[in-house]
Parts: sequence; structure tokens; C-alpha cells
Amino acid sequence: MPEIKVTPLGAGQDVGRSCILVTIGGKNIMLDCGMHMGYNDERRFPDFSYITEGPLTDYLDCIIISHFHLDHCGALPFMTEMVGYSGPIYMTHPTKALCPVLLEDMRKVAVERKGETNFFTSSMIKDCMKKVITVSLHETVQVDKELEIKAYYAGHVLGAAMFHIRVGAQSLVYTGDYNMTPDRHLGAAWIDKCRPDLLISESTYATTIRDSKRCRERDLLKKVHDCVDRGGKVLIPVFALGRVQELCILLDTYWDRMNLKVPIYFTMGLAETANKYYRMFITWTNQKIRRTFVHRNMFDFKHVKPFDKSYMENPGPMVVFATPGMLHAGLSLAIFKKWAHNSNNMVIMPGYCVQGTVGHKILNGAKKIDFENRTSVEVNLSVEYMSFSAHADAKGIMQLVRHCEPHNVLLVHGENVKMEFLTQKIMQEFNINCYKPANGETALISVPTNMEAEVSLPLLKHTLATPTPTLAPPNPATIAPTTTTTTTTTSLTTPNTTTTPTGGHEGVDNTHTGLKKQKVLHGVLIMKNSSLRVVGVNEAWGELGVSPHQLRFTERIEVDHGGPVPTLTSALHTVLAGKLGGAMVQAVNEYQLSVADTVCVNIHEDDPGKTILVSWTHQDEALGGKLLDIIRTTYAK
Amino acid sequence: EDAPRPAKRLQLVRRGKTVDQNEFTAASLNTDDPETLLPALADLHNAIPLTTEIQNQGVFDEVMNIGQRNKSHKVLAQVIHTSCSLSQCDPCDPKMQDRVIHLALSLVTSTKFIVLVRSLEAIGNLCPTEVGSVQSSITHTLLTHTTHQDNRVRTAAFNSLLLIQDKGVLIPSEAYDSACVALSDDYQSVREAALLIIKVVADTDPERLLPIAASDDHMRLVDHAFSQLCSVVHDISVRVRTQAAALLGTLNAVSEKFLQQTWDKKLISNMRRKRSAHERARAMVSSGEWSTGKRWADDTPKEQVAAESVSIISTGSCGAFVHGLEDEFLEVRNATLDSICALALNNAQFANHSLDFLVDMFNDEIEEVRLKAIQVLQQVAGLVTLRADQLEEILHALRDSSLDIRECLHTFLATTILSTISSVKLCVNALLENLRRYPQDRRSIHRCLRRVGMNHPTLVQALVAELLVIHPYFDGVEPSVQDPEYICKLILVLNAAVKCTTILPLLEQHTLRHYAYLRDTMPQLVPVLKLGEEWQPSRVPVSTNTLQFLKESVSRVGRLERSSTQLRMTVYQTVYSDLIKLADIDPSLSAASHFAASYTECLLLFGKILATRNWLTPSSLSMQQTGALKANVDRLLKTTFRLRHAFTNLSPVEEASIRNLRVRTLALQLVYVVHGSTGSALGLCDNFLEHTEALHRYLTDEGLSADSFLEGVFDELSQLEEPRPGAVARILQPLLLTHNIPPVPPVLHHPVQVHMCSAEIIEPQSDSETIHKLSAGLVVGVPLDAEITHIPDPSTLRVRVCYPDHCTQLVVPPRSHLRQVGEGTYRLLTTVLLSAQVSWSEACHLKNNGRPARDLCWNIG
Repeated sequence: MPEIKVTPLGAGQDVGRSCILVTIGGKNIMLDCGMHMGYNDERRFPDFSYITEGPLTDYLDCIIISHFHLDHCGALPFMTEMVGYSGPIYMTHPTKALCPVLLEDMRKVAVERKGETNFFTSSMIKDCMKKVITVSLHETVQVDKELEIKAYYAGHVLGAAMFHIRVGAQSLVYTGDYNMTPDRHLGAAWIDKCRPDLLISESTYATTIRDSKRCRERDLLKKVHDCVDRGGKVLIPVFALGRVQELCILLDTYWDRMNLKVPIYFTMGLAETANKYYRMFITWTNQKIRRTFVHRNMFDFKHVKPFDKSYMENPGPMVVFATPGMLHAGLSLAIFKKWAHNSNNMVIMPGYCVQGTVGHKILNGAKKIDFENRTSVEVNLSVEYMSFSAHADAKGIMQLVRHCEPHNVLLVHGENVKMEFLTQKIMQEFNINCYKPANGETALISVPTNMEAEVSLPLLKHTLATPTPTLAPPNPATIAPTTTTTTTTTSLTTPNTTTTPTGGHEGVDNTHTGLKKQKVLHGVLIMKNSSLRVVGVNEAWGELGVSPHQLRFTERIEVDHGGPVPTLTSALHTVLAGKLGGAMVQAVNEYQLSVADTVCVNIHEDDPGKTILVSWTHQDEALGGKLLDIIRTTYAK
Repeated sequence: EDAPRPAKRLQLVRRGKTVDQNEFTAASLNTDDPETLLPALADLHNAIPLTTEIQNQGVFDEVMNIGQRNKSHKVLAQVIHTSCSLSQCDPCDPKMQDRVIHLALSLVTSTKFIVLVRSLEAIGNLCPTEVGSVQSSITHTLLTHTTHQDNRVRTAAFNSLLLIQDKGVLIPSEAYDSACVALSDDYQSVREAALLIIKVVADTDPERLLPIAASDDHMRLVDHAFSQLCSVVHDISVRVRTQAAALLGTLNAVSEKFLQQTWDKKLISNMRRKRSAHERARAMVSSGEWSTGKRWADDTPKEQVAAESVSIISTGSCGAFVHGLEDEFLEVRNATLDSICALALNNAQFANHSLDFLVDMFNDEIEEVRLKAIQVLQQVAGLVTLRADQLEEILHALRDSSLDIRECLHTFLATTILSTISSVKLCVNALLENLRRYPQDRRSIHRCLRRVGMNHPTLVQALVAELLVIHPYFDGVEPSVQDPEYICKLILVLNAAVKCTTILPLLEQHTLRHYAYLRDTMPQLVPVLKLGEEWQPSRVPVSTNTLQFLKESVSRVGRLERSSTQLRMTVYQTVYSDLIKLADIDPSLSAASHFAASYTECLLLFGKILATRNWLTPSSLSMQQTGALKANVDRLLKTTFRLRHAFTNLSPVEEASIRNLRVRTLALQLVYVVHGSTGSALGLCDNFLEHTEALHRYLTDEGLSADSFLEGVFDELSQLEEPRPGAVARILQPLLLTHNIPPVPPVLHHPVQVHMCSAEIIEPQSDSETIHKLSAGLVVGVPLDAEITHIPDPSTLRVRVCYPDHCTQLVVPPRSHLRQVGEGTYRLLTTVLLSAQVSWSEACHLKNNGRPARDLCWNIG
């Protein structure tokens, strides 16, 4: 049995540093190449030496990057430029556009702020990006003769994609990170019923079922609105990419709807660069933005204006998006210090905050924050927490599994305990195997082998044309071989999808549904030069130069019967027709009957009585035997 | 022979021959080449219905022949398709249909999908309604093909099952089972067709019991169907999801249990049970706590849940609507809302459950969906009771900038019943804020507050002092009665006072004076209160005899037939001015008076024109006479046009007399133009003939007789060889002079029922101080809000813009800007574009006050 081998180098029972090594149909593929944000030593990159002894380029057939988050693409320049890999790298257009922006930002932080030395350079990022090949949604890309990949929409962030990978008859789907519920700027993940052998899914929220997003959004909007109505200032600390665009759209459209004139500010820099790309990749956004962009691109915000440090002092209400997201440094902290004392103001934390940051403290209700330089700030402003996460929850994951109908599921990108729960659920609900290998652990997934045999067209047509007697459920494949020297005569059950053209594109492979009527096909399987062919019997004889032989059994029965032969014939005809059914028995002439066209019954004048001669071929053994019984019991001496 | 003669001859006038496009030559079928047969058959299919029965039969035989001799599957498929359509032509021929059915049934063994599809379609279309062997073999065939290997055949089989079900044939119960199986089909067209089957079976046989797998229990078929549809809400294809969501609302008599489950969604966070925002809000209200302002932690997960008890895959109808409302596509969300509405109207408990989710939908990103959510809410308003927190969320939407959403919400608030004083206060305050923010909502808010006052008299009573700033000891400042907010409050209080008379003693003197003022200025919003004489407006109901006056006036006109021209003119003039006055005095007779007045005016004008000496030879007239004559003709045309189009709800006799008058006017115009000017009268002549013919048809249809003038016209015209303007005018001239107009406008049957089309411009107001700046050569948009009543055909509506330089423009308002308010009543909300000629070299201000710079007018054609 062939196997698919999956080895996570990162993200196995863990979040961060997604990097999964897959061997399928003899091809080695790396799915994502991320870094771990929690480490600063060599552990932040996957252990590439594990993969192979020799050069990576020879071993790996391709790398696929699902989206631009650093835990999915952060190690890419390190691998291609510093470790050395020059094979193809696949990603979607928006990912290719935004990936270098983030890599460059991270490099700056690492090298210029933290002063690291052994880190990749800007030119390395550029060189790395030159090796990237872009794919469009639903475009099937032929990596080499056997390996093909196809991208599906995944939601999550702009340009995130799920990849369907196929080698010969084996296939797998890698989801990357995905979101099954639409948000303000992106749609929901979608995949067709591709029935892969293996589905590798993320499982960040394996044990969570979330409330509808609308409630949370409405809460946020109402709070912001009330705050600016009473003249307060709202601070929203954010990270530059992803959620901030969603929140900007949310507020911008709300401002439009409610006719508000209060200014919304947005810090420039990285976020502005990102916005530029968001404006370009309209096809990757949700229904609303796609429908209205001809009229107005929603990322050309009407009410959101660039922020300047001096605006901090301005009187009157305003809303400010400022980086970074956890209030640990930079502009957002500066603004916070300025505004914290006024109880009219508000700060909204749109995401998780790491322990020790100011964000974490105020979320836990700290009334006074002390800073390093012995200053302290009274926290009088109201603090709100909004969680906007773009990962699928347990329901979403199950729904994806249901939609694509895989034969096996493998979970990555989640915590072990949570995965355990989901694994159980998947096995229970879908009755399929579910794996969750740890980092460095290899999961072997055996896949059924499909032998491909070529069936001759005349044979298929002939089989299809003969009507099936009943609509009974299909028989399982029965094989009844009669052997000649080199060939095997087999009865194969074939799904008859092979010849009829099927329209549409939703699914081609229908053999698993069990819905199809199946037919028994009588033919000869010829194995020659490692090719399998099923042909008709006569064709096979002709092709192999075998002269047909017939095996016939003949039995004579002596019968006491006084009358003339035709009387006996007609009597016999009546008897047989009564037992076997009128359609089966035909009188050929006065002396001969034929049953089911193949068995012939001859009647001879003989002294003193008559002889009935029954003759049948080997194939009709059963019928012949039955016939013989009938005649014997009727006319036994 | 004699009656239809004129009509026949009159048809001469019609221009352009009607070509019979249905001609089809059977000869083109005389071939065996598929290449030529296919297009020929397709042509034939387009030509159906053929004209005669005999032709039908011939062509049908020919087509069936092709079916016998040709073996190409494409041709065969087309043969079935065409012959099926042929056999359905009027009149239906059962023999032909039988033949088609047999042909189709014999072809279902075909291996070609197109032949199969066409055959299944044909037997579905032609299935006989009587029970019999044909019918059973058809249903059997269709049923077996629902599991065919080809998706197109499966779809066709399901669709045909649907067709025969429509005809009243009982489809076998197995069809339901195979439809349920087909819901997991790979192809969306099959799933769509199967959904419909499930729906119709559930409609026809809702109470059948189905066994539940792996248990001894049974469930009702309609419940089973409902949960099947619910599971399809998770489908992969948008089209299927939309359809499933839409069908959910069409199932009646679904058990309570299944309905409640559709809102079910258990939240967990990290394996701990979590309450949804809705549950939290509910708990908060029931516990009587107030928000502390720091609520971020109150959604922290509660108890740990056991892994076995969590079901992540929803079974049955669980959470179907929750899911539908969260769908990515607005089509699905809209369909879900429609379904929720349909179900909620039949089930109050379901309606209450849906409330939270509907309120959530107010926050949808697409306006269409938001609006729909509010409309649904509005429809179920009578069934639900709002909690204070829900009301707050709803009122938040009053700040929305979309007029539709706000007005819809006003209607909702007007119908809903609030339970506490604080919610009424909340509601009133929100409406007042709305008024401040969007002053154009004034009328809608007034209507809303009127109903709120009527619905909650006792609750409003508790708020009177606060609203009107009444202090037990101190006298407050008398508010200005022009203050829009104050007017709103008064409307609320005064309407509440009707049912709760204890409010009256609370009111101060000046408030009562304001009541008298409001009662006079907006009687439809302020009710009559039981107060002393002094506060009642002095409008005492007096019997006015206006109706009698109208009748008398009209009959006075009628009595004058034999009088002298001079006297007639004087009387017409008097009656005309009387009627115009009457229209002002009695609004209920306004339309009828206007109608009679216009008619009288026409008589007057006719008289004037015909009395002008030498009116047919204008060259001999003096300058002044020519001018007057022309003005009279124009006025006559205009008045008859108004009569013809502005009045509705007339009896046929009245209608006929109006049309008669119009024809007569056109005749006069034709004669006048032919004699008086040198230009071509071809168009006028055509117009006249067209109207005459239409009138003739109308008279024949209604069974009315023509008057002497018309009879003359019909007679003469029918003898005319070719309708040339000169000839027609020559005929008309003596007729016009000899036959007088029937002087009585027969308006007297039901004068109150006559409607006159009218328009009221609400925005821009005539006293508005708003200044619209416009630059030369560029356009400026002025928002227009108008209500048009009794308009028979809104597509004929035009907006007339009059500029100070006496040029006018007619603007066609977009159809989508018109919304129907009631029967024949429309509201026009549009932006009228104004533009000044380029010749105005400087930017100038177009002031909008004083006289109405623009009005709505009628123009047809």
C-alpha cells in the first residue's frame, strides 16, 4: 500500500513556525516555512538539517506558502538564501506582494533594534522573492509532470489560500490558516468536494464555538459612537496588517451610515503600504467590497485620515488607530499616556495582550500604571476588549471537513489538548482517521491503490447497451476466472461513468457514493508490458492469436414415448416453458428446441423409445444441469 | 353585417402590416441529414404555436416520421422536444400526446443524455392526470432516473416529478426518499431540484410518519423535511443555500421543537461553556443589574463541558437560521430573513426568539439586508414584546443616514407595544434626536409619535410633566409653537390624552391654546379632546348641501340646450366659477367639482370658438381675434387633456363622455389647422383617427351608444377611401357645426368617488431658506420629496422645473425613486438636477422661496 508521509517541522501540536514536510507519490513538498515569534535563538526557524543530508534543492520538489503571516513565511529567506534552496516556491499574488513588506519589517526590528547579526539581509529577501511563482485562485499549476497544485480561497488574511496537491491518484489538501465566517473585508473559505486522501487542517480554535460576529461589532460601534458623542477620544492600538483594515472598514462605513463627522486617524508607515495592496487585490475581498468597488474602493477610506503626532493635543472627539497593538511601546503608548487621565476617553484592545504589557495590565483593571522612568499615569479612561479572530472555530473546521470529504484528516497549528478533542470528534462524526503528529514525528497515512486499466470502447458500449435486468443494488465485484495459458477472463464491476461525458466541475469521481448502478462486464484482462487492458473476448482471441475452443457437455436421455417426435417436442416445449418461462424456450424445428439461445435440445427417433439429447457449453453449466434435471424427472423411465 | 362595418373600415388607418411570423414550411423537414434537420426543427420549435389545428396535425406527423427514420440522437432529442410542444398547442390533442408519451417512454433506454433529458421532460409535461397504466409507468420511469448516472438526467427527472406533482398527480413516496438522498449529490442543479421535491411533498403529505433510523420512533414528514432543508443551509453552493433558506419559510405546521432548534447555538471557549451576547443581555435585564461599563470580562467562559456532550456538527434543524444569517452572501441572508418573517408571523414564540437575531442584522454591512431586517421586525411587531436593552439597540438605528431605514423604524415603533415608562421615554428621546439630526423626517416622526401616544396613554401620562416641563409651583416659559420638538411632544401627549383623560388637568393654559392651534393646522395628527367650548376650534359641523349645489349647478348647464348662445355663455361662466369655489369649500367634493368645472369650461370654450365669426378663415380675422382664437384652442386642448388623464374612478358613461369631448376637440383642432395654417396636418389627423378608433372600441366594449356627432363621424369615416387630413377635415367641419356637445357632464352618479390626481411637494418646502448654488453649465441636485395621489399610471409622471427665465424642463423621475404608499398613491423621492444655460455667464443664485419654483405636472406621450 502506498503511503503519504507527513512530518511537521513546526506547528505540530503547536502554534507558530508552521513548516510541514510531506511526501506524496514520491514527491517531497514543504508546506509553509514559518518562524516562531516566541524564540530568539535558532529554535525560531525550523530545523532544515533534519530534512536531508544533501542539498535541499535536490530533495524538495517545491515549497508552498499559504499566506503572508510571519509564522508561515518568516523562515523563507533564511532557508532559500542562507541554507540554500533554489527550487520553485508557490504563493498567491497578494502573498507575494505583502510577504516582503513584513519580512523587511521583521528584519529591521531584529537587526536594527535588537542588534542581531546572523540574520538575512534586505537583498536576501529580494533574491528569495525572485524564486517565487505566483498562482491564482482555482488555477491548476503543473509543478512537474506528475505534481499539480491548485489554490482555494481561505479567508483569514488577504491572499490566504488553501492548496490542493495531487500526484497521480493521490491527493491532499493543506488549509494553511482559514476562516469559515466572513468578516468586513474578507469572505469565507471555500473548497469544493475534492475528496482528497488527506486533509491537513489548522486547529487553533479546536475547542471553541464562537458567537456571531455581528454582536461584537455592534458592541464596539456603539461604544465608540457613545464615546465620541460625549466628546471623548478613542484609542485603538493595532498591528499594522490584517485586523486594522477590517476595523477601518467597519468604522468608515459606520461613519458613513451614521453621518458622523468626528475624525478618524490612522498611523502611516507600514499600514499605509499595506493599504495600497489591499486596494489593489479587490478580487480577494468579500462580496460587499467587490460589489461596490466600481463605485468606490472601500479601502479608499472616506473618513480615515493620516495621523500626525501633533493631533494628539487637539481638542474635541477623535478616533485613532495606532501601532503597536499591545500598548508596549511606540506611538500607541504615547497617546495612551496623554489620554489616560480623562474618563471621557476610551481605549479598545482589539486582540490578545501578552503578560507584562500595558495592555495586559489595563485589561486586568489596573487603575494606575507605572513606567520605567518613575512616571505614572492614572487610568481613568474606559477600557474595552474586543476579540476579532480570523481562524475557523470548531464548527468551521468540521464544516470544511464535511465540504471536502477527505479520507483522512491531519491536524496541525494548535495545542495538543485541544487537538485531542477535535480528533475524537472527527473520527466519531465522519468515521475517518485523524492524526496529530508532534514536531519531528512522522505520520504515515496509507492510501488505497487504484489500478488503472484501459477498457476497450466497443466492450463498454456493448455492456451499456444490454439492459440490466433489475434495479437491484450493485453486486460487489465478482471474479470468476477461467484460465487459458496467458489471459484471464474476468468479470469486472465498472462504474459506467467512464464513457458518458459529465458536465460541470463539481466532482468527477463518483465511485464512493454508492449511488451508481453497477454493471457486470464480461471481458478479458490482458496484462502486457506493465499495462492493464480489459477487452472483449473475441477481441482478445484475435489479438493474442488464440483459436477459440469450446467445451461442451452432452447428455443423452432415453425416453419412453409412443407418439411421433413432433408431439414429444411440443410436449417438452410446454414443460420447459412452464418451468423456465416462455421467453427462454424456443422451438427451432420439429426435432429441436433451443433454451436461452445456447443450450440445444435434440430429440431423436430411436428404437424402441426416443432419445433426448441435451448439449450445453461450459459457461451454461448451471442451466444445463437444471434442464437435465427437469427432463429426467418428467420423463424418467 | 351592419354593426362592425365602421370598425372594419376604420382599421384602414392602422399603419404597417402585421406579418404572420408563424409561417413554417414543412418542406424543410424533408431530409435525412442531421445537419439540416436540426436547425429546421429548432425553427419549428420557435414557430410554435402554429396557427391552425390542421397545420399542427400535419407538422406533427411529419416530425414523428423524422423520429422513426432518423437515428441521430440530437435529432431524436429535438424531435421529442418539438413534438411535445406541438402536442401541447391549443387545442390539446390527447392522441398526439399519447404518441409522444409512447415515443418518449421507448427512448428512455437510450444512452445519450440529451435524448433522456428531453424524454423525461416530455413525459413530465404530458403526464395524464387520470390514474392509469401510463401514469404509473411515467412515475416509475421518472423515479428510476433520479438515480441515473448523469447529473443532467437526474435533474430532469426531479424537475419532471415536480411538473407532474403540479398537475395533481400523486408522486410516489419513494420520490421523497430519493430526493433526500439527492441532497448530498455532487451537482448543485440536482440538489436544487431535490429541494423543491422535498418542499412539495412536505406540503402535500405533511403528517405521514417516517421511521427514524436506529430507533423505533417516528417523526412527521414535515418535520423531517424541515430538518433536511435546514441541513442544506450549510451547503457548499450559494444557489442551493439560497433556495434552501427561502424554502424554510414556506413549510407550514412544523413542530415547535424543530422551530426552536433553529436558533440553537451552543458556544464554547476552550471546552468551557460560554454564554452568547444575547443570553448575557437577557440575564442582565432579568437580574436588574446595570452595566458596569467594564464588561470585557463578563463573557469569560463558565463551567467546563464534557467532550462527549458537545456536538459540533449540527444535526437536524439545529442552528439553521443562525447559520443562514451569518452567511457570506447577501442572497442567503435575505432569503433567511424572508423565511424567518414567514415563520414568525405564524408563531409568536418563534418571533420572540428571532428578535435578538433580527436586531443583530441591523448591523449588517449591506443596506439591503439591514432594511429587510427592519421590515421583518416591522411585520412581526405585533407579536413580540421588546426588552429595554433590545429597544435601545433598535433605537440606535434611528441615527442611520438611510431614509428608508429610519422610516421603516418609525412604522415599527408606531405599531409595537412598549411595557415600561422608561422605554417610552427612551423611544421619545431617540425620536426627538432623530428629528434634530434629520429634520426631513418630520412628517414620519409626527405620525409615529401620534401612534405611540395612542398606544401608551398611561405610560405617557407619567411623562407629561417631564416632557412639557411643567413644574408644580413655578410657571415655565411658554414654548414657541413653531418649535418642531415641542410640536412632536404635543402630538404625543395630546393623542395619549384621548384615552387617558386624566392628562387634561395636567396641561397648562398655553398648552391648551397650542392644542387649538394644532387642531386647526394639522387636524389629522391631533385628535378631538373632550374640552370646554372655548378650546374647541370654531369649526362647527353645519349641513352645507354642497352636493346638492353641485348637482343643481350641473343640471343648470343641462337645461340650457335650447337657449341663446349669449345666455349659455353667461351661465357657463357663472357655473364654472361657482364650481371652482365649491372645490375649495368642500374637500370631499373637490375632485368632482373640478371635474364638472373643467367640463363646463370646455363647453364655454367650444361655444366661444364656434361663435367667433369666420373662425375657419383666420386670414380674415384681426390680429387680436386670431390671438384669442388660438389661445382658446390651446386652452381647450389642455383642459380636455387634463380631464382625460387627471381623473380616475369614473363610470364608463363619464369616461365615454370625456373621450367624446377629447375627440371632438381634436376634430376641432384638425379643422382649425387645416384651414388656418399651411403646415402639414398629417400627424394631427393620425392622432385624431387613433383616438376615434379607441373611443369606438371603448364604446363597443362597454356597450354604450355613440351620440349623434360620433355616429356621424363613424359613418363618414367608414366611407372614406384614404384618411387624408383634408378629406377628414371636410367631413368633420359640418359635423362640428351641426351637432352640439351633450351639455351635461354625467358626473352626478357618484360624485364623491371621483378621484383627481394631485401632487404635494413636501421637500423642498416653499418657505425654505435653503440656497442652492449652481454654476453656469453645471448641474446641481435638489432633493425632491413629493406625494402623488390617485395616479393611474406612475410611468407617466414628470417633474416640471420652471426657471426664472420662463423656460421649463420636464424630468422623467427614475422608476426606482417612486415607491408605492397605498392604492394609487406614490411617494417620489428623487434628486432633481437643475442646470442653467451656458449663456448665463456668471454664477447666480436660484432662490427657492416665495412662489414654488418647481412643481409636478402631467405629461403624457
